[in-house]
Amino acid sequence: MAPDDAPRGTSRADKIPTTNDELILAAAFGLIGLLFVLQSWALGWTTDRGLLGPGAFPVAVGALFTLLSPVVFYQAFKNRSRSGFPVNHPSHQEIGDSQTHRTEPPPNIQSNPGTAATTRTGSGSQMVLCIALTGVFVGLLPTLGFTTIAILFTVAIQCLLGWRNWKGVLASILAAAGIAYVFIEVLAVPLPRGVLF
Amino acid sequence: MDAILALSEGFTALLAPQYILACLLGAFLGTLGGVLPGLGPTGTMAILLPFVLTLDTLSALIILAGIAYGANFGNSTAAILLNIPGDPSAVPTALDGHPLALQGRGGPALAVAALASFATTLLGTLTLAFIAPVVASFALRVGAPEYFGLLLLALTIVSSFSQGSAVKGFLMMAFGVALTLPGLDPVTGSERLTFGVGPLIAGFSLIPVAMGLFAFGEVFHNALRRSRPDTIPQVGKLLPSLKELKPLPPVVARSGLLGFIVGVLPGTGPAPAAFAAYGMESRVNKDRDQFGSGSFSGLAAPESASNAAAAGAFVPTLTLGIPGSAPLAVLLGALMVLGARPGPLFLDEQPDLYWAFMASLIVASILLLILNLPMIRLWVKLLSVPYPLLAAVILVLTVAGVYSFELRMSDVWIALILGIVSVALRRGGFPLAPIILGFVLGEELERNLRLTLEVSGGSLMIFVERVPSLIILLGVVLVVTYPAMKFVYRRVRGAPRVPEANA
Repeated sequence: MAPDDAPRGTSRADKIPTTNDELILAAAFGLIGLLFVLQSWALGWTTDRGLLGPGAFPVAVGALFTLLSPVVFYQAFKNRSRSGFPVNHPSHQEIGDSQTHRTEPPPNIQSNPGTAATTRTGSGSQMVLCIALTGVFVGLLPTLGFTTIAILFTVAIQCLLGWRNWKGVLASILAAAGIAYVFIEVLAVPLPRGVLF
Repeated sequence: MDAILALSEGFTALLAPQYILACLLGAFLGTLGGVLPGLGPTGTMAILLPFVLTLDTLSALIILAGIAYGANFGNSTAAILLNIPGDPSAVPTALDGHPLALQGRGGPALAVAALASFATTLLGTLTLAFIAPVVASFALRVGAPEYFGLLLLALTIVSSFSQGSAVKGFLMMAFGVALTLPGLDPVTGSERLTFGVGPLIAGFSLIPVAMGLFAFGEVFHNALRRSRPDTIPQVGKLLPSLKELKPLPPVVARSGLLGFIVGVLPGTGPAPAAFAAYGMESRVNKDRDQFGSGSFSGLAAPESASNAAAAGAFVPTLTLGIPGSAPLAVLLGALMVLGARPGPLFLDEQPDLYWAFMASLIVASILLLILNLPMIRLWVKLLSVPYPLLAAVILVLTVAGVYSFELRMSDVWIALILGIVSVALRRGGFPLAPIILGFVLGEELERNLRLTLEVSGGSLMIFVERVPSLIILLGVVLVVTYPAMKFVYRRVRGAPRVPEANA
């Protein structure tokens, strides 16, 4: 069953506007494809017995990248020039597992009479800081040890994402300590202990 | 008769306490992953993989399947009460479920969703139990060329019909396959595409890939886009009236049948089934005028279809080793890590495992009804758990989980990098499901291609000389050219051109 038979507004036939991310990603995938082709070419197409060698399949995959990337780039460029509003426009609802759908009903169906009010709490800077904090967490893990860095990290994430009170700090300390206890004591996983323990 | 006897033996095997506990745990965690918006079955499975892989095969299978089933039950809660679908399959549920909640009928809406889900999960599982051996007996005749064609068909279906542009779907499928290439060549054992990076010699493992894409990626993306509901509508009285229930059985039957058929197609899964059923009912249901403003039929249709599809998706997964959906790709990958190999020989070689698993799915269906009907208020309370705490827990669990698998920091860095890639892909509207399917099936695809060409002495004609292989490859061509044919058809009809989407 193709999604095209789905209610209008939920199928991929609906245009969802684009961002620069698409253009950058399309170009990046094109370059990765070229790199794959160049690297795999040297591995050999055939083996000594005349069979398919280790380079043949990667060349095919790299070629697929290289062929598809310009198409995605062109589509993104065309869509951007046609309509400029960003992909996180309120008419689109992001949902789990990274699928994006429009949630308007089919043409013969009335619109929702209303919806529960929501307050937008996320932001681009929060995302960048969240990634950076996770990078610091992973980077310091071998040095500070899992328990210490996990507690510091959860408190930092709480504060970053907006739960800045003693309850949030206490909950994050308990959660991190609980996870460390389960992994180290219950599951006997030798997580890095660091210089403090 | 043999099948009924085997199923009863499956129930006997399931009586061991650890398996009952696994059923309960899978159903509970699946519902939890479905209720909490933005996690979904694939993310929940990814986070739990390191724990699950320490268990025996049956327990792991039961927990992962319980998550796949449970998430389909649970995702209706946030969709109905908050209009936040936790999973693509819950989008049509929100169309009628949320208006019902706003009308003060949240309780009956949740009850109808749970009952419809239960009915089709149970019937779908029974159908699966008895249909899978038949499919497997046919699949036994499949050779390497046909198997290569089937793998290609599954990958093209999931790419072509994934949300967003088909080209992006194909690109993501290629990305998933590309992740299987660095490391050692599966046939000659020679090193390839490691680019001088030491850790890449071991290749990419399932855990860093799945947890990076679906756990890190989800949290990072939510840090950008999340919104907090100001209020949660009251659930009120749970049970719907008889008058409200009366028109539902035919809707559940129609949608369940459609959902199961859609689910059986490799690479589809619950979301297309839910949309298809909602679309069908919005045309044929006698109460279709009420759709969108709070119709119990409009709510029951997608719920029935998505849960039947979740059961149907196990047919290709267990009989062909080709996952029916993204969560089942993770399940299949986990089984491969555990040494089990679902496919045509699975039922012949491990009938005890198969029938005990079928019995566990039936038990899980019943447990899910209990968890989602009398205990629904508990799940509603979970919706008020502060997201910052949840995000921090997921991130810490992900780091610990990835590290614990092989005790390698390089895996954690790989997961983090893939998490960042995942955010970029989500922002660019690239679908993630084809990546995980490509990753799980990529190595088999290459292996079967090379095996086929070894048999044919290097001639590609073997793919068209064998009739079953030719038919499958024609199917691949049809799926690949479908978007182009649709475009041409619209042009010929003179219909207004609908621009391609980018989700």
